[in-house]
Amino acid sequence: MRKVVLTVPLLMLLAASARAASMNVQVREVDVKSQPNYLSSSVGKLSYGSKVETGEEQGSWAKISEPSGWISKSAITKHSVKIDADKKYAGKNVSHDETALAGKGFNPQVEAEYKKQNPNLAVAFEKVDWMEKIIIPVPELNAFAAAGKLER
Amino acid sequence: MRLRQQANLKDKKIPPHPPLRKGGRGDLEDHMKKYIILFVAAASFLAIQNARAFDIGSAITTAVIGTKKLADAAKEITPGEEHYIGRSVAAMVINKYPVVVNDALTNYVNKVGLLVAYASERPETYGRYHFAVVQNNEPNAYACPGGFIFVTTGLLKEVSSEDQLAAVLGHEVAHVAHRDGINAIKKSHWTDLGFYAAGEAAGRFSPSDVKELAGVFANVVSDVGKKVLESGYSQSDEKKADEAGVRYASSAGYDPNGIVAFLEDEVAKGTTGGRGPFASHPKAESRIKLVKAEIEKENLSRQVAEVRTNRFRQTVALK
Repeated sequence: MRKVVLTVPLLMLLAASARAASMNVQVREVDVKSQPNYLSSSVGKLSYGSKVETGEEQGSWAKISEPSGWISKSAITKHSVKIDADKKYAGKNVSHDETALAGKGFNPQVEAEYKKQNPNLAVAFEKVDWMEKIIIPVPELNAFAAAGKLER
Repeated sequence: MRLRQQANLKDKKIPPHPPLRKGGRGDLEDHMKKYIILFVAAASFLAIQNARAFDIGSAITTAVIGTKKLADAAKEITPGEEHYIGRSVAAMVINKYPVVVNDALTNYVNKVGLLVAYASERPETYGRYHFAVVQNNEPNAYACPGGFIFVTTGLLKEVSSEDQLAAVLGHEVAHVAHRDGINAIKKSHWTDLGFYAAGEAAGRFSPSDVKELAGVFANVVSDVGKKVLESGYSQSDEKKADEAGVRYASSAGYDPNGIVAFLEDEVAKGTTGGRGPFASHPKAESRIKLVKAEIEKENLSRQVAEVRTNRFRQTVALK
């Protein structure tokens, strides 16, 4: 009996540690929510490259401890993400990254060169920047859903 | 670098053997020289062999790692990269069809779109979802990688309720969530990107790398742009987007039967079925059948609140 009493918590502990995982934020910025629901209040924000330890999962959400809350699994990855220490390109456009993407492939540096090679797209890119600046705060979205009698 | 050293060793000429003189100190020196020359020759031979063995081994290792990196790079484009591809494809869309700058209309479309996107299996993209209306009389919508989604003024004239709009936006969100745009990148261009991934070790690219990479980027953007603006997604992708779109709309609280009504209207007007802006979509009749089956199977129907339809009419009338 004593063995069982000792073994059960040990197994639970092992199961919990097996679920826990070190992950990296792979999106520019993500809200950490108080509940596993997009329309719940935000308890903090994490930016690209932040490391998180995930625990319990509910559907497409994972619980994290710092800050204590829920994060969408689509915002994190087990793969490492690189951060460029050089903020030169990040500072050029407010709608762009706080931390410029580094590593392989396409980043603000490459986009800048592409824009230089395609000056006819300059006005269109300004409109894309304008689109990115349109942020609907969660309370406003909640009010919109409630006024529309959306049953979720 | 190592190969160059190896070539130097190979090219190194051993001095010609001096004529041997019999007796005296000179003979001893000659013998010594002979041994030294033999020793140097043997050492050089061993060095070359070792150098060869080392270089071949190293080359194999490099090739294996390089191939692995290439394969890794080819199969995965990060959300950040997808975002930058999406920005440029969105610029192509806006360059072709001017964006409608109307805050009330844009905010409204963003609210409906975000509610649906948050109900998808990919609610977070690198730079979040963004929606806008573009000036084009053809009823159409465009989903660019990373979450830049456009609906045309022509589409808004055809859509008659918020629930219908939500279902249409759900379909476009599904293209983003399924990465259909990224999958349109030609394999050869994808592989080009892989080479840069394998070769790039430092945090930033050199100016010449950036120029070359911008060329690869242009090819990739062109592949996706053609898919989004011209050829459209495959019928299989469209079917999957239809199924997912009604699920997202329903999860957000909208009645997905809205898209059935929308498609039935389109059939009645003859704007679907293999020509016009819906040419890329499976024929409307089969879409209606598929969507109805999905709604019934998953029990996705919801109540349509009049208040939503009213605010749709008020806001979209602003366009």
